[in-house]
Amino acid sequence: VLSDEAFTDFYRQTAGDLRNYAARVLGNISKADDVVQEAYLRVLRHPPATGNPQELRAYVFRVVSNLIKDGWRREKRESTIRDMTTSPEDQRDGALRIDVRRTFLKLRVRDRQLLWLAYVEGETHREIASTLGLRENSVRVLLARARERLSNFLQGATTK
Amino acid sequence: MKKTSMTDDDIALWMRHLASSPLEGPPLPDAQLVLWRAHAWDCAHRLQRVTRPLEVGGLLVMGVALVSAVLLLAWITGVAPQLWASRLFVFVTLGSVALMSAAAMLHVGAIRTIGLSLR
Repeated sequence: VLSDEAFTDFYRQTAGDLRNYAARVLGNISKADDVVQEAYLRVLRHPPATGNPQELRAYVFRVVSNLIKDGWRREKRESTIRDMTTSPEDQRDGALRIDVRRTFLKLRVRDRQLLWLAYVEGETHREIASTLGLRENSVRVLLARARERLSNFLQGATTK
Repeated sequence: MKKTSMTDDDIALWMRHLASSPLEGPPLPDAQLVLWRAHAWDCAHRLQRVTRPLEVGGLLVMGVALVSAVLLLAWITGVAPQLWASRLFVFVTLGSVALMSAAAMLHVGAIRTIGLSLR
């Protein structure tokens, strides 16, 4: 069981990264905040049988990934692209930053998760497989395809 | 322009650029708030486990009372059908049914209100 102090430390260490992950994948900050808060509540309600911070971090990323997947199945539509591209902040931002986000949101949710976990979180194939509930071999293939799709989108954007 | 395949480093650089772009939105809730919500949920969950049997019990009592009242009325009607000619009997019967229903609804409503207020 996590003590309040241990949880507070764990939250401070991981909440920012977790929110960044959820927000980039979902493309919506308020949905991301809901998902992140729900994930931490689940950690508190059903804490994993480990005190290892790395394992706890992996666990909470897994919970967020599952919540994203469940939410995505419910919605079955890509309304998040609109949410991100029409915010007033985006209008003030440089075109490059908007393009970066917009391009990322063109990818499938699974691709976004794979790319984020691999390149931003620096997870290994095995860790990604555990986080997303996939087989390690599948991760290798899916990640290559996600990379290819992102590459195509980026090159499509630059050749326009 | 001819397309050239992006290298792994290009992708990594692009992803780092994405990750470093600031997120707009309110600040993250404090850890204490999350802890408080978890404790509140835990408390509500435990209380719900206590109030649920009471709620079910209340509904059972209501059902048993209703069936008993119907059986009693049927028996009285069989034994002394002339009672239905009495306005007082009809009034008392209808009044009793109304009071019983109100009591049952209040009982269930009160339990639900307690449960909701503790969530």
